Formats: sequence, C-alpha cells, structure tokens
Amino acid sequence: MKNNEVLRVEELKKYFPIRKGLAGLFSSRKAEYVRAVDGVSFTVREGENLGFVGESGCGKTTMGRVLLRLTEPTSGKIYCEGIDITSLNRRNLKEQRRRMQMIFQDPHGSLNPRRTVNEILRQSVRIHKLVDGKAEEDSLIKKTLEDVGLAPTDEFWNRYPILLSGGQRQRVGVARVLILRPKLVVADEPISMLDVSVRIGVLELLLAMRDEFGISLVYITHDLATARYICDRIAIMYLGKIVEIGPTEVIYSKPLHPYTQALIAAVPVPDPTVKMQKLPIKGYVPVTGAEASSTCGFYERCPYAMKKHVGEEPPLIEVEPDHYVACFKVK
Amino acid sequence: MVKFLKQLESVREFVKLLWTHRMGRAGLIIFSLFAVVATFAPFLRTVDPNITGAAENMLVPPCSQFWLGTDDLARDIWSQVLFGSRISLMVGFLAASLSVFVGTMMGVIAGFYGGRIGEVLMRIVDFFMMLPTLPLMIILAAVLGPSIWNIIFVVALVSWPTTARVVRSQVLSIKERTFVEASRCVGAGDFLLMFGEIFPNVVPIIFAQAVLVVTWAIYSEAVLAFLGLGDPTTISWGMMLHFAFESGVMSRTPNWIAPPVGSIVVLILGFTFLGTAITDVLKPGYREVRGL
Amino acid sequence: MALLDVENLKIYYFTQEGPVKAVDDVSFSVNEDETLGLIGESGCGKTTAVFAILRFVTPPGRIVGGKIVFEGRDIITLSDEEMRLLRGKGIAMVFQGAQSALNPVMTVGKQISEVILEHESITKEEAWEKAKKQLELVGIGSARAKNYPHEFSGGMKQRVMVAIATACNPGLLIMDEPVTGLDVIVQRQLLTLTNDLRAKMHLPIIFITHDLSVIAETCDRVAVMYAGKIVEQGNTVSLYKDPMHPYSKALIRSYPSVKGEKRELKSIPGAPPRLINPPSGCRFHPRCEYAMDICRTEEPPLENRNNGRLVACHLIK
Repeated sequence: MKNNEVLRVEELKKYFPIRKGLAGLFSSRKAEYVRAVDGVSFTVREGENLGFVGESGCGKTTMGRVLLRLTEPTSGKIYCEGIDITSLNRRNLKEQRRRMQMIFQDPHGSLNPRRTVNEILRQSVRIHKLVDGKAEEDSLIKKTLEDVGLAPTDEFWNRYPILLSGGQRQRVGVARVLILRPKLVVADEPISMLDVSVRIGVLELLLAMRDEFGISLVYITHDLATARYICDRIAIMYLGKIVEIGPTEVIYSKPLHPYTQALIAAVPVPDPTVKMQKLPIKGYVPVTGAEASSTCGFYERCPYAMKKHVGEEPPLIEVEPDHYVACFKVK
Repeated sequence: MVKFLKQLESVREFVKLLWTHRMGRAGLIIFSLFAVVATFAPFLRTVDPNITGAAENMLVPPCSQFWLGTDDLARDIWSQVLFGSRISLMVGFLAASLSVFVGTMMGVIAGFYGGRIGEVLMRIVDFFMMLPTLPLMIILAAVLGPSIWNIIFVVALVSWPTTARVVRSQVLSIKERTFVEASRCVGAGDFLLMFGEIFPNVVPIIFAQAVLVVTWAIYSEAVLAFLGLGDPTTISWGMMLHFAFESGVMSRTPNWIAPPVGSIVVLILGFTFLGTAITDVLKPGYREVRGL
Repeated sequence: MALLDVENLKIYYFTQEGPVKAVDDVSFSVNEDETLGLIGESGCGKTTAVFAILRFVTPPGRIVGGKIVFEGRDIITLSDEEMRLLRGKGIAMVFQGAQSALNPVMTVGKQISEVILEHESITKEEAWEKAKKQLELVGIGSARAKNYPHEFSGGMKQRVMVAIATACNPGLLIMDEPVTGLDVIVQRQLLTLTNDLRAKMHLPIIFITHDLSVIAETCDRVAVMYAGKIVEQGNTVSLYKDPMHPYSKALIRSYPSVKGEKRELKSIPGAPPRLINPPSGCRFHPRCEYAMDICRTEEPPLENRNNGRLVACHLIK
C-alpha cells in the first residue's frame, strides 16, 4: 500500500432488493436487486480531489453514502488510512467518522432549524471533545467561522439557519466539517442548489480545504463544468460502474469511453459562438440493472458496439499512466 | 439561583413574544384573568361558597349581596365560580403534564427507532386508543371513587396515546431530514439525535398538543362532575352544573348555569388561542421576520 | 412593431412586512421569429415577470403598473374569458418540473388532444390525429399516445409538455427553466428539440433560466435581470463577448466551461439582496467592485449604448 493514500476502495458493491409485494412471496424466482454500486475500486491520495461524475441513477450518491457507512455496503472493502471501515463496530466508527466527513447537497435541510450557528458547530466540538472549556470552544468556533468566510463572526454567532442565504448555509455546512479537521470529505452536489453568483465562492472554499488543510475531497456531481475546476482526477460512472477514470484535463481533452465522449459533448458551453455538438449516442439510461448484465452496460446505446463481445464485460484497463478505461474498443 | 433567574428571564421573553401575536395576546389575557382569579379566590369571594345559608337566601336572583345570586342550598354562585377556576386549571395542567410527558417519550422513541420497538410501542398506543373514553372514565371514576385526582389520572390515561401518535408521526418525518444525518455524521449518538436534534423540532407540536389536552381535561372534568362522578365536596364548574341539574329548577335559573358554562367556554377558548399562538411563535425565524 | 412589448412592468407582492418589489420597471420586447433569453438568479423576478404575460399573478402579488402588449392588445386589460382563449392558443408555456404538470391518470395523447379541443372546433378524432402528430414532432412517436405519464422518463415528460404547448400553433412560447434538473444528455436532447422546433415552426420563444450556457446555445438576444430589474440587454454573441454591466461581467466570469482553455473563475462577493428592502441607488452596488458614490444614491437608467445594447450603469457614459 502506498503511503499517501487516504482512501482505498476495493470491489465495493451495494445492491438494493426490489420489493415485489405479496406476489414476490409466492414466486419461485430469486430475489432481484438494483445494482446501485456494482464493483467499484479506486484510491484517493492525500490532498487530492477526486470527482465522480454521472447522470442521476448511476449510483454516485449511493457510493458516497456507502463510503461513510451511512448506508451499509453489500460487499467490498473501504480502507481509510489503512483502517478497514467496513469491519468497524459502532464505537470505533464514531471515532473514524471524525476523519471522514460529508458535505450535503441541500443547504436548507442539512442544518437544524432550531439551532443557532454556534450551537451547530459546538455540537461537533463537544462530541469529539476537541478542546476543554467554554472559552476554548468559543475561540475554536470563531476561528473556523472565519476560515469559511463567515466574518464578522459576531454577526452570525446567534443566527438561525433560516436567516442565512443559501451560500452562507453551505459555508456553515463546510465549517461543521472543517472544525473536525478530517482527512477526507465526501461532498455530494454541494453547490447545485445555490445561486449561480455564489457557487464559485463555495467552490473556492472547497479548494482551500485541500490547499490549506490538506483535506482530500470526493466530489460527487452531475456537473462536468464545475468538476473540471475542483477535481484533480475524474471518474465517470455509468450503471454503478466506473467506465473511465483519469486526470481531469486528460479526460476533458481526450475522453476515450464513448459514454464519456457523449457526456462531454452534451454539456452546453457558455459561449454563443460555439456550435452545438451532435450527440454520438441515443436513447436513455435504462433502469439500473435489475438483471445481472454480463455485457458492457453501455452496449445498447453505444455507436461502436461490437457483437463479438456480447457476454463479456470490459475490464478497467490502464491505457496510459493513471488513465483507465473500461471499453473493448480502446486498446 | 442564577440559573433560576435566567430561566425566569427566558419565560419573560417568551411571554413578550406571545404578546406580539394577536391570538396570543387574547389567550394571555384570558389565561392571566383566570390565573389571578384562581390565586386570589379567597380574597375576591363575597361569601364562603361552602357555607349553606338560611332558607330565605335560597335561589336568590342576582342582587347587591349575592352578585350572581345563590343556588338551592343558598351558596353564593359568584364565589363558587371563583373557586371552580382553581379546580379547572389544576386538572388541566396536571393532566396535560402527565399525558404529554408519557406521550412524548413513547412517541419520540417509537418514531426514532421504528422497526420492532416502534411496532410494539404503537400497538400499546393502539390498545389505549381503542378504549372507549367516556365509559372508561365513568367506570374508573366509579371504581376509584369520586376524587379530583382520579379525574386527572383518567384524563391522562386516555389522552397520552394521541400525543404519542402525533409526536411519532412528526419524528418520523423529521428524522429523515438531512440535518439528522449530518449530526450522525459528526458522531452524534442516538440519545443526542433524539433529544438534542429531533426533540427541539417537535416542541411546537408538543405545546399545541399540551394545550389541546388542557382544554380537553377541563372539559372532561366538567363532564364527569356533571354526571355526578366528581367529588361533591370540592367546588368545580362541572359540580355546579350537576347541582343545578339535580335541583330540577335549572330552566328557571340562568344565573346559576350561565356563569360556569361561560367560564368553561371562555377558558377553553383562551387555551385554544394560546395553542395557536405558541405554534406560530415557535416557528423558527418568527422573531426575526417580525423584526423583534 | 414587436410581437410582444413589455413596458415599465411593475409587480409587487404585498406582504405583512411591506411590499416586495419583485419586478420593478421592467421593459423588454420579443420580435417575430426570435428567441429571447431571460437570465438571472433565483428570486430576481424573471419568473414573475414572465408569468405576468399569462396573467398568472396571484395575490398577494399584483401588477401595479406598466403594459404588456401582445399582437397589438394590452394583456392587462383583457377580460378573463379573452385571457383564457389567449393562453395556449396565443401564448403557451412549458413549466419547470414537467413531472408534476402532467395528469397522472390520463394518457398523454388524451392530454394533448384536450388542449386542442379547447381551442379549435374540430372533432375528437381529428384532435387525436393531431395529438399523434405532435408526439411525432417532439420525437416520442405516435405509437406511445396511449401511454400514461408514469411510463415516461423525466426528459420524455418534458417533451410531452412541449408537445402540449405547441399543439395549437401558439404565437409565442414561454419556457421556464425547461432543462433544470435534467441530466446533461437528456438536457442536450431537449435543447436540440427546441432549436429544431424553432427552425420548423418559426416560433418565437422566451427562455427563462439561470444557466448561462443554455442561453448561449439557444437565444438570439438576452436580458440579464438582477434584483427585479433588467441591468443589461443585447445580442447574445456580443453580450457574451463584451459584457458591459459589472453584474453581467461577473456572472460570465464566474461561469465554468468544459471546453476550451481552463479560464480563471472569479467569485462575486455577497449574495443577492432581499427585495423587501433592496439597496439604494443601483441594486448591485454592494457587490460591485467598481461602485462609486453616485451608485449608492442614484438609480442608473437602462439606456441604449452602441448598436442596440441597453445597459443600466453609471460607469458607462
């Protein structure tokens, strides 16, 4: 194991059983599953931002939750700084959670409406006994509020979340995480519900977490454009699997998997002189594999699909240093 | 001591806040009126209501001596109404506290854990809910004997399941909100999640529920007493109505019935106003939106 | 004369705490065969302004001033019946979140033909045929006319909405955040459809969105709204290349792109103001890096600069 790995995920799977109601009781068929996360492996290095990009239903959100064991994995291993998260009991998990944190999508729902800003942060401080004494707590909370750009702190100290703007709420969300000084943060669409003009401010804050505090970030999003600005590497997910993973600029300048190509071609560009690109693929994302697919999940929609590989799954192979693709076409 | 003063301060703040609400103000006025009456009843009374008078003072219409007249035992009605408010308020508050405490505990635990624990608790709740309220009250009151404490016990016994249900359904929806998960994420345990995170969000509904139980308890006391299941030695509004009914001259003596009935209606109305106002005022941001 | 002329429109919401000036003195027009983009952040009044065109302003909101002239008639003065006939036939709308705008217990074909029957005196069979043609037009295919909304994906439902909106050949189509919340590939398919429809039907469109890149790909002209006012308006290509108002500038500078060189992004300090108590003078001045004394006291008028660009800013003389 390399020393600078913060997170190592091996063959992670999360299947949700499909409830079939009463009829299911009498059916002789085996239980069916939605394969939300279907054998995902990757590593996150220290001080690195790894982006997970995909359309809704590709399993990226479930994967983020499983990483923190907010949802229990079906199988697979998750190591954080060498410690196997999947085998921890409740008490040890609480300890470990200090090192792995989450920033949520909804800045309105993720703060308790009946707690003031300082109370929300104080909770983290008390649970983990970060410092002793009220005065020490206060100064730590003040410092963290300043770190996330909520200054002057007196102005926000006793405010309830309802009186904060979306951007400010999300900053409180970041502060709650930052105060614990975690090694790894999972952020699930942290800016998608914010006003356009405040998004970049929060993005800069997330970048500062990496640059100033050495925190690694797993950034989950459907938005390729912002992912480009915050991620060092990008993983593209389709139907619960990683189809391509590599350094951000490499993925954007020469995507190899047909699905990645389609995604990038589809993103509108804020430049009216650029003509719309034609989409290379057709159709819609199917409902996540109720049946175990033994073929490439993208087969039906792929413009380059080859009959001879039906029944085989493309492995994720390294095509150049650090750049992996799961496609038969790519050699 | 300092802590007590601090709490006193926050109560004052809260009352101030209620005062800004139209219904809250009406409720506060009504409630304080009855509270004052109940507290100072011995000083406000004209004649001791327990003392029966001479025959010539029976069923006297309102006059300067007996402000609201007298009943068939020549007891002063004005003084009876004053003392009756003590019983109503006591029954209301004690029954509501008991009912809300038990109901909230059961509701929070059943809602938070769900699964088997929740199921078992809710079946217990269902059982108590299924009990036919009025017959049960009558039977219990009859078996345990006429006493004000029995009425409090009975009202609490049949009203806590409603509180438990209301609280549980609220907890069920609140525990799905992201901030609970966010708290769990920073390491909060079950106890903290239940009583530190979720509970403050159910407080408004608990208050509203408590007020509902108060009104319901006042009303139930009146009903039981009217039916003759109250304690004939304590004066309450229900008891007054009971005696009026028994006397057989009810239709000719509006001055005997109207005061207790009016008191019951106004007091219940006051609590209903308070309930609405408390729910509004406890909504996050009420203070700030009103610029307070 | 333009197809639609909105002049000095004012819409206030009369709340307990005082009037909220959601739309304050807004003017814009849409010409035949043109797509106008209305861009702004949530709460800037763009949706309110456009809802007013269909007179969908509900209390406590009220149109307190201005004119909305469509095909020579002032919409504000029309009777309710005239207004009902105008909706769908004259001006049609595609709402945000098509998922909830479709009736779940009625087939999509039926839903389209009902709209047609409402406005045209034809038989049920003819309407049904027309409905099938509409589904063909939006790329769903007539075979699915008998399907129910739950049998479609989110993007398909949005297509059905477009089919309903265009069923009566409206004179103007309004699209309110039509692609928000859709996945990129589905979003692209819908944008392509919009552009195709426009080319085929010569349909003027007002496109409301907060997404700069969506406007860039669909609109001829764009109006930038901030805090209830239009701050800049002009040809899309020239406005994106050379934004003049500091807000448009900042907005464009803060917008990331997947293509081309990775530009430096710059954040805008602060947050959009609450309209109950907007800043004095120019409403953008607390967040503006070029703010001068005059910006705090005097409201800049929206004035014609060179070649049809309208800008409301004291900096530009």
